[in-house]
Amino acid sequence: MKKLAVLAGMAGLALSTLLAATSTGLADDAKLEQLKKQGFARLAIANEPPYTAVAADGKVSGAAPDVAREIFKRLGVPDVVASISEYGAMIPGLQAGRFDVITAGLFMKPERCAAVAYSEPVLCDAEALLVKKGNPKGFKSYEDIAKDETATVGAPGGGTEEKLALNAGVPRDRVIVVPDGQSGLKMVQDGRIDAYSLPVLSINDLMKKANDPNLEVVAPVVGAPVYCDGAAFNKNDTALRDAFDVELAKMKESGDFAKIIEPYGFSAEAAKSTTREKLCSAK
Amino acid sequence: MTAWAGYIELILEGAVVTIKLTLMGSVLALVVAFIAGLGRLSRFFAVRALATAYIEFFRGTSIFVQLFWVYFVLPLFGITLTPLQAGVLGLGLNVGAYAAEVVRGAVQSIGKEQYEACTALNLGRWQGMRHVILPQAFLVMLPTFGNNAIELLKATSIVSLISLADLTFQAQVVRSQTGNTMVPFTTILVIYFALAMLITWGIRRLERRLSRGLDGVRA
Amino acid sequence: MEWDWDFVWQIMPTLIEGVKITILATVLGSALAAVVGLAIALLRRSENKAVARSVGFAAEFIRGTPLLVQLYFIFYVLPDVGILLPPMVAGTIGLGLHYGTYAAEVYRAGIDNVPRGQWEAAKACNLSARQTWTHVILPQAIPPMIPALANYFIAMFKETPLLSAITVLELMNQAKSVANTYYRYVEPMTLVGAFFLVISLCSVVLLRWLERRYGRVER
Repeated sequence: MKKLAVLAGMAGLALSTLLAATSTGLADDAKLEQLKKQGFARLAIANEPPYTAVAADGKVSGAAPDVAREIFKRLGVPDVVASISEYGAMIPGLQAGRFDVITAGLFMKPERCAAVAYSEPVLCDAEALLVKKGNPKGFKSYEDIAKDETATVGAPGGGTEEKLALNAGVPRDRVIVVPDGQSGLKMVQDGRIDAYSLPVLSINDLMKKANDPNLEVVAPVVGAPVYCDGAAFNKNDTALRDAFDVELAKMKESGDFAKIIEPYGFSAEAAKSTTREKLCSAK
Repeated sequence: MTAWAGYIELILEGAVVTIKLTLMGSVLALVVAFIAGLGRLSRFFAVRALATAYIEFFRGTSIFVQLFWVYFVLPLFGITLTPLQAGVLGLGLNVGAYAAEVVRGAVQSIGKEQYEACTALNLGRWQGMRHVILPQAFLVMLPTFGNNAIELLKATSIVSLISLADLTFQAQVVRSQTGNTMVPFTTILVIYFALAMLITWGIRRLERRLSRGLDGVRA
Repeated sequence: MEWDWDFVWQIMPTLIEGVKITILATVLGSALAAVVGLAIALLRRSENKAVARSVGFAAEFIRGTPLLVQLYFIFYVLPDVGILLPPMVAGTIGLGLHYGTYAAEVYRAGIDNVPRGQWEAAKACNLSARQTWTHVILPQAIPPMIPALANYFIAMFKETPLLSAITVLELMNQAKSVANTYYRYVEPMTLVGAFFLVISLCSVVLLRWLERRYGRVER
């Protein structure tokens, strides 16, 4: 009872101190109008090049935000601002109205499709493992990691790779949640984890930066499908999502899409050859 | 090598956010500390209970948990704060709870004869507090307030985990851009320490200024 | 956003696993802090000025910089110089060192509070320095410090969520992992807060008992 009273006191205090309530998810076109009026859309990104990156001058780049920036410009929203977030915090953050859209290489999977409103596919990639030179434990798939009882694998918390590893039967205590790519690389170098898993292009980017001859990439991971991400919107913002899709389709058609993502190493063909519907119903 | 200039700028931007958070958080903490600290000494049971509940709640739960809660859970109840607002609110209310106890302790440490003198001079309860007790008690509070401010400065590093671009956060960005861990982390450790020294120095000066003319008055 | 009790019961076992690690980290960290604190306090009294000064500065530095950044440093930078620590060990060392510097202040005050006469008496009895410390000074100095030390250890308990940043699967990390799996933040985060509040309130009761047993120390 005392706890309840304390909680009530705290809630009252909080409520009386704050009055900055905003509504999340406006009906129909209201959301787009609101974005136009405020002049920018808020993106969630992960700072995982080449998907998303923050340059030395603080400018947001990477394939996913670049596509979103262009589409929002065409929709009449001149600018995007991005906040860096952990993968696991993105969907709760979207639901909490912290961002308008997630553009971070958050791959489409059925359970995610149930939680957010995805656009059509944008960036496609397979999964990879970062291991020590010569792949001493001979990993080819997540199942290999599950079988070796001493092996540990690192992955971003709430990311696709974490779930793939868990689904392959790697127990929870051997799937290490790693906060960011650089930490994952460091933990493989230091021997804290036996493998670090990210999409192929992300791992390649890490490798390029680290320039460490003692590391090796296993790609693609056997048995892990090619995934595609899409821009993820709040479930209430399907009208905005649909408007986004229209521009995305036009860009795919005109070749502007390929011009943005191919310099980053992504394949425009891969994104064109599949659909949200297929990816969301995939097992 | 030119990139380093950009990275240094990033870190400095982070320092600005950290300083802003520390200043705004300290102001909020100071205000709630006086309200809650004096509230605990109130004649009215309801005020005392409310103040105690606030203090025990914020001292009892972790600042980390409070920030996460304000950032991720409050919006689900329709209250959305910017990361900066959430950071200032979380830090200010948390440190304010600790500082409230300092206020209470300091006020209670003032001798009984001072209160009796107030009565003898026919000062009202508030007048006595305002003109006699608090000026003396404030001097007692200052050094501990300084420590509280340093605690707040250190706690700002946690906001990096709710995606606010403070020093720690920028160090992480630099780290992921350059692949170098040692340099950015060492740099920000030094900056944090310099800021802490600045707070210590500022408080000491303030203390000296305020105690001028009070020699011999204090027991 | 509605509160789902079924979900609460479903995630409870996972969170309890986290609570165990949190408590373990607090206990180990406290033990280390108690030892480190004593070492710092004694070294600062060293005859050798250089030792006393540099230990003093190191302690000031650790106290003036955020634990989160220190943890990053221990976990990610030390391997560059060949020191590779498992997450839990790195976390314990971080907590122990950080709070050791606070504990050192408590020891210092406690030792200073032993009356001069005791030192003189020890000298008169022809005790060696070592005997003086172990048989005369510390047995008198330590009991009154216990409540103040316990107070810092409770503070440490509330900082253990920071260990999640270096991959220790403590309460906060378990809660995040649950939140990531089910895309629900309300229940896990609120429960973490509730756990901390309950344990803190219990420890406050313990603290009151310690204060009665070993004498009141201002906190």
